[in-house]
Amino acid sequence: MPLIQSVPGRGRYLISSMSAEKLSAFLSEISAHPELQLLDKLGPSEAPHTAVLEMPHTQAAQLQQRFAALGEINIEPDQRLKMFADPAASP
Amino acid sequence: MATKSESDKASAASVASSTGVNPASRGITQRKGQFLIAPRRHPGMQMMGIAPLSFSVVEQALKESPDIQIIDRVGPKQVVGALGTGMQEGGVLVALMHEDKAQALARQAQGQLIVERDQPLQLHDVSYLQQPPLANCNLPAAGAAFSAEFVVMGKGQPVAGAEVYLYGSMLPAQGVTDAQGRVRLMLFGETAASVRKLYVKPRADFWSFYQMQPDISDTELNMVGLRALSDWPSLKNFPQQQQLTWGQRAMRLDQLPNTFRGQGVRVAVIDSGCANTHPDLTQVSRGYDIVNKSISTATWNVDTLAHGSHCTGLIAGLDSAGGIRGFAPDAEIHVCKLFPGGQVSQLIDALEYCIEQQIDVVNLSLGGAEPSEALEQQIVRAKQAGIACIVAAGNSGGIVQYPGSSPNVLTVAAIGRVNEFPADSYHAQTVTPVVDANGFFSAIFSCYGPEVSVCAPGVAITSSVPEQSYAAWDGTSMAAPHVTGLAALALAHHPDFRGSGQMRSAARVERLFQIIKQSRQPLMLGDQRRTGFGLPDTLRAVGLAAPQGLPITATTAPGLSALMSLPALQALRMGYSDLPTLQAQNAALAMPFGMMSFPIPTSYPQAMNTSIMSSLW
Repeated sequence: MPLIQSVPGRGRYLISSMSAEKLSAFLSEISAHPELQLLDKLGPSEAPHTAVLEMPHTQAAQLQQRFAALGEINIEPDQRLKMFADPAASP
Repeated sequence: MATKSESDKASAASVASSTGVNPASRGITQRKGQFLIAPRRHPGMQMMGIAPLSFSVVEQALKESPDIQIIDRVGPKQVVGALGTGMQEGGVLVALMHEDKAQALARQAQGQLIVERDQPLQLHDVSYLQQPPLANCNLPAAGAAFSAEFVVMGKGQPVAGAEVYLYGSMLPAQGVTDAQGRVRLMLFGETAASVRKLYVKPRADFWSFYQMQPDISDTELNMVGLRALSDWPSLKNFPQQQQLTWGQRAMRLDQLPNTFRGQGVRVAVIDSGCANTHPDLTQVSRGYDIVNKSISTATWNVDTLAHGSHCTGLIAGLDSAGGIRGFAPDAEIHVCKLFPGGQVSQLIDALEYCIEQQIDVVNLSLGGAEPSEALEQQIVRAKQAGIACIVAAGNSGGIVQYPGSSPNVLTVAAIGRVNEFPADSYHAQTVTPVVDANGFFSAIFSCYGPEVSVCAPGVAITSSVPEQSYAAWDGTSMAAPHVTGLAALALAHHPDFRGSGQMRSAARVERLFQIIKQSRQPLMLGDQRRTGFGLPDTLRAVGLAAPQGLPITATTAPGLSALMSLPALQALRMGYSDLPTLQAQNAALAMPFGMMSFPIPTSYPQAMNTSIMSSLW
């Protein structure tokens, strides 16, 4: 995954884990954090596997470093997607 | 078609009444281009005793041609300089002429004359290229602006809502025609002679129009006449009379018995929604609006971009008297609306819906810039739940984009076929140099690489768009639904998916992918990274005809669906030349690689064998 840049501003990030327990524990841990806003939880309602959070990029970069050491949770930018039609419309 | 045709004259006559402008509008043709001409001075020719043509003789001959206008002579300024470089007589002539005249001149000279277009140059400024289009480039602050007005006509009437792009040497000008079919565009720092391209893209019902080096006036109204889709022979009487797309016919859908209709299979189209008000899409009744789910999930049938409706029509368009019939008109369609907007999180959410709804096949005519570990995990979950993801390779003309680069999906590149679109439509610009005996070519925009599983028609594909129209579009987005529809037919009707073969699992997905690959019609287009196994065939995919060529002897293992790790995902972004690295990484991670074995046809060159092997992760 690309390195998250520790720059000013906020963005949407995906936090995912193969372990629903680990993700749940992390979400409990950050629930009181004023700068991390939980936008959505994805997956089976009883055991979500992915969370969508908005947070400062600096915070995301720190989390990426922390998760890299643990290897059980992943953080990545919530990228935009595009449709693959009409290549001519792109200058 | 652009102009001077009978229909355009009729259109011009109606301009006055319908738009209130001077009927003395002018049609758009190609203007004279600028060419470089010089005698060819090749040592080999001199060794053969062939003396170079005399520059002065060439210059005199060109001057005497009424179709050629010499505008400059580039070369040594002084005789001393010329002698010093060994050029007793030399230089290059710059002349204006039409393309066909230049080609004739080159032919007549039989190799002794260099005749080439004086190509426009571009600044290779990386900072400029990385900026969003139309956002951060400095426009010339001084100098004249080139302004031109256009009227777009079709069937004698103004065409409203057509996108018109005018390309100069910098940023394009872009506008949309009004109710009178008119739009005025302005290019700063350009002149009529520096305008490079004109592209007109109608919303629906007409072919696009594309003209290089257009002859555009800034004083007269420029008229563009569009051809109706039904003017094309294979779309005669369309849409009143039902048609198949050329792509569906190339995949032999027209030879499929009418009882093979995809019944019992659930297909999800994750896209921009689906307008079920369209006559071809009235049977679509299930969906989920992910973009607006905080308000309502029921607005999946609002498709402002038309993209999802186009894809859905190809997969499951209603079998009725008119319109376009889809591959599997009786399949149960589920629409997951992701656009406008569209983020990885929403795609993960959409796949969760597919798992809950026990979808069999998912069409993904979309992609992102980077691989996503979170999305890859969800694709693997979906595959383990028996969902086959059919993914478009991408339109950047480079390496396959993600999730098309995932080892857990079937990736589709785009091909076109000559004589399936007008020569003056944009579709003609997608043709690549290698065209096989059947007229197939790899589309120039299609992404390529070892991840490409198969290819399918993706140039000039006609399908449904809101509200009740049809449009001919290009893209790997159009290729993927051809394979998704065929996959639905295979699941519904191939004998391997009866009895225990119906059980939803990763193994069923792998078997489906294998059947689609085995059904292929090999294409002789040279580079297998652009076509994968080839063009899937409907009759073979449902088991009505034997697979083509040597069969793949599968040793499919459930481990094939193993989740790729972070380093492996990063490796997916590497180019083809990085495959040894990827293989090494996979080996180090004990990842499955090349888990299928099969006899290699002896007629394949060695490089192609490598490509085949590499595509079977």
